[in-house]
Amino acid sequence: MPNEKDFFNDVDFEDDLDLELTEEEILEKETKEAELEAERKKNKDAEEARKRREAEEKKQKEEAELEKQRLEKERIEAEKEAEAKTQEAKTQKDKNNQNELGKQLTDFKDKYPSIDLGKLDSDEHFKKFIDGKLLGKKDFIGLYEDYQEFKVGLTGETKEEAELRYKIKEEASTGSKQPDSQGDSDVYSKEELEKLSEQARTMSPSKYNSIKDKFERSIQHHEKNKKK
Amino acid sequence: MNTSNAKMVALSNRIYEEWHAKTVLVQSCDRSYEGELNLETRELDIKVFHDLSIHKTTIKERQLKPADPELIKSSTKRVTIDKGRYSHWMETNIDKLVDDLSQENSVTRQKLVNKWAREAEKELAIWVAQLKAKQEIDLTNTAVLEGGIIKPENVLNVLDILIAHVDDVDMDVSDFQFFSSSRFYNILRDAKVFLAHNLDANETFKSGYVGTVSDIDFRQLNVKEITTRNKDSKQVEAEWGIWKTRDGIQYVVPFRTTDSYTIEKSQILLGGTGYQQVEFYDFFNLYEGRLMKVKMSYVTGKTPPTTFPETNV
Repeated sequence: MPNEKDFFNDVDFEDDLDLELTEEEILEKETKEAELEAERKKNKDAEEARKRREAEEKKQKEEAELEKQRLEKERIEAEKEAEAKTQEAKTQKDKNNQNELGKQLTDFKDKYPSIDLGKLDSDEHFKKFIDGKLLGKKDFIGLYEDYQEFKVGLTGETKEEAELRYKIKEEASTGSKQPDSQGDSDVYSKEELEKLSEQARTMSPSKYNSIKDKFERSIQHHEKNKKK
Repeated sequence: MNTSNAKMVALSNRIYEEWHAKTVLVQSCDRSYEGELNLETRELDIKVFHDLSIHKTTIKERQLKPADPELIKSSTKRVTIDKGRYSHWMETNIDKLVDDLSQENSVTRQKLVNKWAREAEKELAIWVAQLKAKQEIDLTNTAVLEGGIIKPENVLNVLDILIAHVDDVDMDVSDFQFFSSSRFYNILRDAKVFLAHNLDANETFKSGYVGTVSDIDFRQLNVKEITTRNKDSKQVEAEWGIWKTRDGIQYVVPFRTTDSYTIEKSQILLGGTGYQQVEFYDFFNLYEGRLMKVKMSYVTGKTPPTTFPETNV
């Protein structure tokens, strides 16, 4: 009978044994591989998820930043618009005030054509008297008359004496009736205009040219007042 | 306040300034005067400027007493204003016409202005053409200008003669202006005396300005009454030129008005308003040496006119 060992002499036990893993071992191996694969997949998914999260966060952050800038821009524009409206309202108010004041001054010139507004403006006491009162309850004529009454009461001089210091220069000093072509007033009074109309017929061209603008302006002014 | 009166006065002054600006010869005259016209006597004072004297002295003496000072404006000459002109028209709608005349683009006012400018220019030019012989430079005289006919070959001699007459009275050529028709200037151009650089940028658009050569300011004057023309071609064959300073003529208009009056219904259907644009004026030559007429001929045998249509002169 051959030796039992001899039956296996040509057999490489190691190699052949690998090929002949037990089912259990194969199963274990496959299980391990599956576990490794699952682990790899899990890691990969986790990585991808992390990247997605980061990308998402970045996008949200950018959107938030853009939104913030947009809101800031809108806020600035709204502020500018509000400021412009405020300025416009202020300008319109100033303009209305100027128009109103201009009208009051024109009415004053009609009532007191011989009073030089420039001289009145140079009177510091008068300016202090009307400070804060212009365009208030009383118009310019009312304020002037109040001031004159106040001065008369305080100083004892007559109304005519009080007015004398504001009279247009030529009427006050030389007695000449010719209106001042260099005067501070914008227009001639009615009396001045009528007088000049007679004189202008024989005036030299250079003399007429020196009063021409004010003369024509005065015509328009009194025409406009006539229509009112 | 009724502003009609003031508006009329403004209108009459405006018309005066506008027609004055359209003239060449009238505009070149001195129009200043003192004070106002006396409407009763029609007298006016015109300033007369005398020359300042130059005194000789020596600095060797220790104390020098100067001659008495002279006033630059040493006197006025009283003249009587003797001329008037007017336009007279009527309208049944007063406001409409007055406003029309005052408008910037008023055709009526423009026609009035153009007409008055032409008439004023013509009248003054004719008056100059009738000055006495003492104030004449006769270029048709062969003793004065060789050949007596102005042509490109001798036109520079004409300039020399004009300048010589100024030197003779110790005056400055730059104070003088020469007025003539375009015929003379065409000859200057043919002779290439007039070139682009003869034009003064400051003067180019001023009334009648043609150019400046040898300090002589040339102005074109279109008054056919002081020219002799070819009956077919109408070209100027002879003419009166004018050689003068600004104060060679004093042209004053010391009274200007536009007046209106009511026209009754009995005079015209539905009545209306009449207007009169009136000016009193006159012109004088106070300095004889500063105004000369120049007898010029361009064609042999032709001379400028010696008779003229009637004017106020």
